[in-house]
Amino acid sequence: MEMERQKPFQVDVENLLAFNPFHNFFSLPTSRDELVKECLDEGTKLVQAVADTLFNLPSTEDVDGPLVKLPPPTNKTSREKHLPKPKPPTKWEEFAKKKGIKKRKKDKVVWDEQTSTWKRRFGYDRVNDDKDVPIIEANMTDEQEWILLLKDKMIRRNESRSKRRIASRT
Amino acid sequence: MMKIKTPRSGRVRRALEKRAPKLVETGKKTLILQGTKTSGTLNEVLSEIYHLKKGGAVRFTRKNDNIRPFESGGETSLEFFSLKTDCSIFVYGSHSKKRPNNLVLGRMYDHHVYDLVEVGVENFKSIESFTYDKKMAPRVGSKPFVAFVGEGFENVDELKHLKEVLLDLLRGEVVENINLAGLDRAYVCTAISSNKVYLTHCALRLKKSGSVVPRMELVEVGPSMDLVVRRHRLPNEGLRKEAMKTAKDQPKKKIKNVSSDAIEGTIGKIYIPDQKVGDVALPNKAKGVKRERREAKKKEANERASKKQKEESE
Repeated sequence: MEMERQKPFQVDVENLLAFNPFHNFFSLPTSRDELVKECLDEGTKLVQAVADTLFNLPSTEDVDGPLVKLPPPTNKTSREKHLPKPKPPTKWEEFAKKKGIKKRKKDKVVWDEQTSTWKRRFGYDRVNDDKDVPIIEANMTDEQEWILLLKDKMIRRNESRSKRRIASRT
Repeated sequence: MMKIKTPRSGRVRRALEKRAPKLVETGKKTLILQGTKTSGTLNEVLSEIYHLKKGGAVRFTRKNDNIRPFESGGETSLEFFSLKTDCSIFVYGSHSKKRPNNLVLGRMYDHHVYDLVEVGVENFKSIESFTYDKKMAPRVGSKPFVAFVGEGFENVDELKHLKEVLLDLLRGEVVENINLAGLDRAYVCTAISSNKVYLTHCALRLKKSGSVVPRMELVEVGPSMDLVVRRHRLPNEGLRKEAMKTAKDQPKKKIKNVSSDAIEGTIGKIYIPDQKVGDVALPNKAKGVKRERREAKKKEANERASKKQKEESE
């Protein structure tokens, strides 16, 4: 069994892979044990070759041991899923881009002029709560009913729009 | 018009995001299943492969009559399972007179069969039959070394294909950083002849040597088997090109607020943002307490503060 020591192995550190393309069994060893031993010997040489490159990479000290950053792989394997397709912008996103509208973050606390304090925007004791009147009527006034109807309409409209947006994106 | 269901809860949304296609992929999950008839050795082989890949594998134990990977109609079940379990490699075991102890190793692209390699298992030795010092046993989920020996892997088409598939199957998660203390296993695949491969799983022993690099010692621990290549199916060219596409290497991102000076070296700028008065946490806010108690606490704190002011003014 010839073994070319001068010819190099193909080492891919990213996958911890080593390939010896020059080994040849000219005649198989007679016993199984010898075959196994030969395979293990070759394997050891290859693993040693990978370890040589691996341990010489720059390493940072971590809690459990030295951490090494691996280089990009040389062996390309096939992907399991297609590349992610970039999503087209929604109608609002396009409009906002055109007009230069930027997103603004809302504060959690808002200044209330009436009581001259900082009040929450949502939740208990919030700013501009329409239920914050001293006396609430037992039956709803027409105005209140109308506001509720509008809210319902807006909710349904927003749902259908969002469905349409998601459908156009998929 | 078909009703499109959108996720309503964060948990479902996150689960879907995990399964969505990514730019850089981090390792495929394996599906291990069996056909109409299996033999004793084949059952052992399948369960040991499952043990080796514990973190990233799914094992089905029922028999599946309608899966015939090499026939055109027999792949639909496989593709369905792959879609449901999000697995992109499968190991299908079956036993028949014509093909004893048969394993079909296959890969999927977009949950459709990409390529297949059929091997027969001979001379299988299970994990229990090996005796070794139990302290050296490799831990579950550690990244293995993979070694391929033999010119057959370069010259023979089928072995070349088998090498690719074995690499995908054995390598585990694809990571950027690796902890050198956690390297403890290696797979050795030797091409014994033009259609036979000897595959074995070994534990690593790192011995002190003169330099930084330790001396490696391999001790056989895990299953070892002879794989005889029977049939294989390569992917067609168009599909192969698509599957091998990689995202173009992103240009090196410039780190913001860091510049380098010849004299002083690396300089960093720290910008302190404007204090947002509206977002500042309210003092004396015992949020975990019920409302009445909270108000009472606030009142107490105010009284104490006014008392202090009175004392200071006196």
